[in-house]
Amino acid sequence: MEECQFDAVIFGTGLVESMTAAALSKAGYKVAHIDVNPYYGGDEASLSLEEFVQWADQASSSSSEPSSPPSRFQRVSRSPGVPPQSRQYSICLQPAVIPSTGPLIASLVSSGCAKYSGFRLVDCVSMYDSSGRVKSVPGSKEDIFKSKEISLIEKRRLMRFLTFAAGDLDGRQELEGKRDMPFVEFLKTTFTLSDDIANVIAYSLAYCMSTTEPTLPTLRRLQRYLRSAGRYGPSPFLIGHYGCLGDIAQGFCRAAAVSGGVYILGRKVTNISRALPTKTEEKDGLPSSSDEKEKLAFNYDIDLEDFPDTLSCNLIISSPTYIPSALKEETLQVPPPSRKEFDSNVSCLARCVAILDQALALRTQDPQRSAPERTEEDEEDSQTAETALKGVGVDTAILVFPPSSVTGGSTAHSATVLINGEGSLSTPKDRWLVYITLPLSQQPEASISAEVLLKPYLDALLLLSADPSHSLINPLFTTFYLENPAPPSTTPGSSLHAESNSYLVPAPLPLVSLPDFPDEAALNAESTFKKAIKVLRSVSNENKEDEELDFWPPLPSDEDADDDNEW
Amino acid sequence: MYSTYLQPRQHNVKRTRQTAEEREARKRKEQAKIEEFTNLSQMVLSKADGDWSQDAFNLTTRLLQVNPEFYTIWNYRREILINGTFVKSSPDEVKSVLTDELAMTMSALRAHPKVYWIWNHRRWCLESVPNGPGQESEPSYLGWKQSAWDRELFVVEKMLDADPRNFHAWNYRRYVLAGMPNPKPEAAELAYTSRKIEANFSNFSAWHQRSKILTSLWAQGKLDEAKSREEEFELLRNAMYTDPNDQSVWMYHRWLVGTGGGKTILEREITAIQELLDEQPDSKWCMESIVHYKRHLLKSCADEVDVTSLSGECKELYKRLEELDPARRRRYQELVLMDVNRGKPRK
Repeated sequence: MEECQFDAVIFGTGLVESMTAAALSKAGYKVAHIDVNPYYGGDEASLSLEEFVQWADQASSSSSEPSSPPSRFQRVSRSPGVPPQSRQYSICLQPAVIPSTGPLIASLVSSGCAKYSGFRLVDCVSMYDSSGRVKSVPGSKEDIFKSKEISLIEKRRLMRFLTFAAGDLDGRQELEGKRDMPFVEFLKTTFTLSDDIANVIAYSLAYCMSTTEPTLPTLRRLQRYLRSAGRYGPSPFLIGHYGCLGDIAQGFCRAAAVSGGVYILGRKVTNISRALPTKTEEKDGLPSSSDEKEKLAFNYDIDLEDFPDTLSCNLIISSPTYIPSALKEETLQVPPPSRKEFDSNVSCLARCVAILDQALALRTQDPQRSAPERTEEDEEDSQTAETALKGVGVDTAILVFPPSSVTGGSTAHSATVLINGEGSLSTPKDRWLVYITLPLSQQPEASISAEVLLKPYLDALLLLSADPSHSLINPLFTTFYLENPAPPSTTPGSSLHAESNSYLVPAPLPLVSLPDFPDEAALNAESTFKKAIKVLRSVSNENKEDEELDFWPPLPSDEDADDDNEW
Repeated sequence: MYSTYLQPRQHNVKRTRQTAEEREARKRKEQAKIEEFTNLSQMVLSKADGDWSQDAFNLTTRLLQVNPEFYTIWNYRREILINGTFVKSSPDEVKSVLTDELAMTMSALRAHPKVYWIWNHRRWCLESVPNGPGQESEPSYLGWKQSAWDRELFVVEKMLDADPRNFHAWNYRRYVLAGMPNPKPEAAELAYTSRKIEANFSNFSAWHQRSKILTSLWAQGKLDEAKSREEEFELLRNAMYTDPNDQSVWMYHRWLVGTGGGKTILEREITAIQELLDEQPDSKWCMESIVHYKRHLLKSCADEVDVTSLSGECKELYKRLEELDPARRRRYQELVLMDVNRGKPRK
């Protein structure tokens, strides 16, 4: 039946697949998008608390047997109690922040999907130092000017470095022969920055994950963040409401549906098989006989559990987990986008998700600059304002634990903490979601749980209550687990079938720091989309081989508003 | 509230898919608008000689919506209010009309933030608010005026939030602060400048305002001048080190040095700037400022300093400046000559 014939079928509604689905639908192709889960978002989903608990329990039961490529999520453990108000939580399986300029923002705007979500700027970024203090990270010229913690000379050197980093890096003398030098060393030698400032830059401005990250790739990343500052506000980063990436993936699915895409959630795939015999002799990709055109020939047949009809399509896009072994040979992994800005040193992540009932004090309040400026009303509070540097509770914030900042923590890697309060619309009132991420250079031994690795960080956090009468916070809920990178396709496409491959696997996303996942996903989606277009065009013999298709078509234009005269 | 709703834009360029017909239609529409405007102006101008009716008033509203810079019409509008409306109105009604005028010009300002005539009309409205509601010697006697002027301060603050460097707005702010029936304490204004400077110290107007307030507070003895001056130097040093290229910082420094303190302060500041210059050897402003202050020492404290070595240092700096800023080399050479010839009788 025609209703079951599609140009492309996509399995899994993760961010990359959802963006690809939306782009293909908007380009006019008929797309069916299927997910075994009853929710959108795949491994980037935003889940209610109960859904998250189910996900955790499922992941911990299935990863109990050792498997040769380690499964994506392992060693999951959680606290027994589950707080109420489950639906008011949006817990994201891939916590991230979005740089204000970059491929994801550009896609959100160009596709029109930005209007499906709301966003909020990150309030502040802070760093933990080994004395147990938390200091705000100066991210802008204004922060540096106001800071009481940095000496005059350091202010100059820090500004000089930031100006350098934000400018054109090509052919710069400072980089001669130093591109691969560890970034922290580069900062200390070439820019004579102190240990403290070098750490602040490397771990809380450039979001390095390890001590050995090389200079040039790190600078390129840092530059992207610096250039994002000021677009929507002082912070370079946005967080989407309702768990950020899960809601955004869902928005792209919505766009796909609006353009005619069909969605099927919560169904297992029972069969994927080739519908036509594989053409072994043809090289140029053009079917020669006219008989081909008479019957509608599709490449694949797909059956789903509890679904009456067989779906047919010419192109499948999915992650390796969906590929049946019979088809493994003919899948083609889309080459990853060329940005080599990430440290290959990181092989897995330890993650914690916790719910707290108190705000964290991450921002130190500046005392009044000079006494005479205070008005008569302020005179009464002069004692309280001046005596202690009171911490102020934050809503949406990032806290960085650089290497060697916590006893029992890592000396080689930096942990980041993302805090979401009710302002991010992912928690109820007076609750905060805390995501802790620690990169690891190798799988920890079987006896070491994710909890053991992350406990020093969580414990340090729990001492940072903004309420002075509650010096130790008791978390309402905690979950710990290990995340392994998405596995690559076991056989990157063989050269024989390179052109006629109609089963595409998006490039696996590397393990990256907090601000990088969204843009990497967007770039992956774009290259997957372009490859998909090539395949679909060759199937339908369109002679537009050379015509570049934009990732997103132009939005319908607004009527020219004639209200210059209206006040 | 930092939530943001992202607006889609068409690749940052409006695609004009207008055909020749559409362009023609647009031109015809514009012609119609021009005709309408000309007719309306003629109608209004013909009435300007004595027609103080409500109809005439409404016509001026229409005309000013199209062209708020047509200042004759603003004048006519005020004449209608004075001769037509106010003569028949109680103070309460007058105040009501003026409140409406202020509201109406607020929208006009949003669309045209730099049209002088709109600001002027607001000044006139403010100054025309009658005394009341209470009687003389009652506290509410200045009630209407106070609330109108308070609101005006709020408006100016919104304008300065949108563009902190709009010197028209800073000027207007001074006008409002001076005109308030119950003036705000100057210390609060000092705090306001602090906030603006902390938000972005590249703001000549904010520093300028600060200099005026400090002068006033020092003269009234409300602030310890020496202590306050030290705090200002501290603030400046942080700004200088953060961005040695910012002109407004150096200008404020010159003013501050000029307020007093003598040789000790001059020498100390020269040393501080020299340290910055050592750290940032290409800073033109550092060099210029050091030279400026050294010349000042030569002029004002000639008997307390080593004239020869100071002059030599100035000459050295001018040479460095010539290299750094070759476009102005003649100026530096001229300044050297002036120094050399200082104290010599004119030929």
